[in-house]
Amino acid sequence: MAESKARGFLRELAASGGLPPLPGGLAAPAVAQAAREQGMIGVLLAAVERGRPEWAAPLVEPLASERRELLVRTLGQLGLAARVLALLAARGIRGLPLKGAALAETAYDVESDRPMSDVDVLVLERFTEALTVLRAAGFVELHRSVVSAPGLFPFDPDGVWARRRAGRGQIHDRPSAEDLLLHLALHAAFQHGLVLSLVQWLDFRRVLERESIDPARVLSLAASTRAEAPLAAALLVAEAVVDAPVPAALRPRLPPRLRRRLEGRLGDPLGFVAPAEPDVARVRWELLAGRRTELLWRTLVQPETPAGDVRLPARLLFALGRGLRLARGGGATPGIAAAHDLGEAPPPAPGDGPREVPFSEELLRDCLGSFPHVRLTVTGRCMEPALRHGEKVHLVGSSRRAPRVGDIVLARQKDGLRLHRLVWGPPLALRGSAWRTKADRGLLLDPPLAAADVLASVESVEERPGARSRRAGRALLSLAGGIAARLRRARAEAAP
Amino acid sequence: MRRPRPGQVFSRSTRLVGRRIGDRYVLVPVVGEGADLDSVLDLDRVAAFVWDELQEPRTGAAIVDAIVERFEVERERAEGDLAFLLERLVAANAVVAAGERR
Repeated sequence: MAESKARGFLRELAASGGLPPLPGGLAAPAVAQAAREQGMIGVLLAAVERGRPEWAAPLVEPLASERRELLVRTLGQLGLAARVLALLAARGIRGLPLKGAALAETAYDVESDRPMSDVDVLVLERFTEALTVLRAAGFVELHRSVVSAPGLFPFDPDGVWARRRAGRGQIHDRPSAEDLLLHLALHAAFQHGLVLSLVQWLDFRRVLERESIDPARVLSLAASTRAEAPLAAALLVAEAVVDAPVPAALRPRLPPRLRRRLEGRLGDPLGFVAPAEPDVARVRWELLAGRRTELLWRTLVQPETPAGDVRLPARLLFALGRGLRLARGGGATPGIAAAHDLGEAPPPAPGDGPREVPFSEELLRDCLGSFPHVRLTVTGRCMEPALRHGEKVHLVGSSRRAPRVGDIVLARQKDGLRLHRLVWGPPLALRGSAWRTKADRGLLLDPPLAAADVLASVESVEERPGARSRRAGRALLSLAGGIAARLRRARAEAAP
Repeated sequence: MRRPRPGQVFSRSTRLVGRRIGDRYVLVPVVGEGADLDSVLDLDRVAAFVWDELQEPRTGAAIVDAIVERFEVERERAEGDLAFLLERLVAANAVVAAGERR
């Protein structure tokens, strides 16, 4: 209840720009926590500094500290976006930033007011070559389209490039305000089923307030991109959630069924704010009224397979497997797909959203060698409850603290760095023999690894001083479970 | 954020350390005795040069002189770029702005 009240409070702040009265029963720390979850720390702090209400006095210092950290992080992310774009430009490949990377320096007072979980770059041409260039430089993810079904909303790359505007900071070029608005709408409506964090809804308000928009051009772009319905739906909801000032001239027509459904829900704007559950499939279905066969085709049959095969039979085969997985209601195999942590992206899957660019292993090694510990945020849930998603852990390099069975270790696997439990290693393993790791919630053991592949072990978890980082008993049980799962799989494979 | 002035003296904060990793230069925040890899600041060539210049406390004007000499850019542009960079480095607690030097 307090969470919902806090979200409602922040929604009013986003809609009005001023601090509303604090509702009864809502404590200041709950407001700060909701602001953290909704990307609204900077906006909240600015409002608190302007209004100086008594209840918020204890929040000022912690919020200011978080804003400083966010600023460092956001500037670093913008720097990465700029480096990606420069790398592409050096090869003559045109690219532009998307979403937060396109907005942080221009639509917000301070970059930290628009936190990003990832860096988004739209590549306007020669996508495969761009991917190769950036993978070679250590980057992983690019967009060939604003949504995960390329071709469904076809845009004109030359037009997007010709309309671009100058950036203000590290980002030299950014999309025009009209293109930005359309990108935001497609992302909100098609990609996220009209459920976003508050700061993402605030993007609409800021673009409409602070950018010079030509409504006729937006409508013309939406028509040529076949994106009138996503634009109309996103603007309608942005108006309800953050009071986005949508010009009267900018109101494309919505399919009647979608309009009826949305209008019935607009009275409860928090239903469009995360963590509300989006009905993505239904929203897409209604947005694409009259184009549903195409929706199915383009969603399932991607321009290339994850292995880069562009031949139609290979794409159809991959689409069939993907369709079956979706029909079973799941993603990849449980236990194996869950085993990812620490910003190293798992193998890309069509339809996945963008991911953060990973920091280099070299930097990690350097810091582990230079500092008593390094601090990192855990991503992924494969080690719960020992490590929860979003927790900060302190890692100690293997040269400072020798890993032992039961430790949660940072290890280099074939597909990236993983924070898993060491289930076979010192003092049980023979010197020179392979070590084994496994995710606590995974089914199978990770592939064997050498001692040198274990870079560090978890020393402590922030804000959980009692958490035990070494659990030998748990490790041995996990090892037994992994072996049993392997035997079951072998038996199943051998069965006629 | 207050815009840095050319007469102000700037120095590196002790809360961040610079690391050159291959051809990249990054600032790593120090938290307690450890490094915080969630908040690494990636410096481009000019920003890395400015960070090098700040090994000793320097005035903004002295750094502008160094940039103009090293990168052969117009003074006005160097001043603008440096002010932009310092503003952010100060806000990120990477650089400390002290009083004016006359």
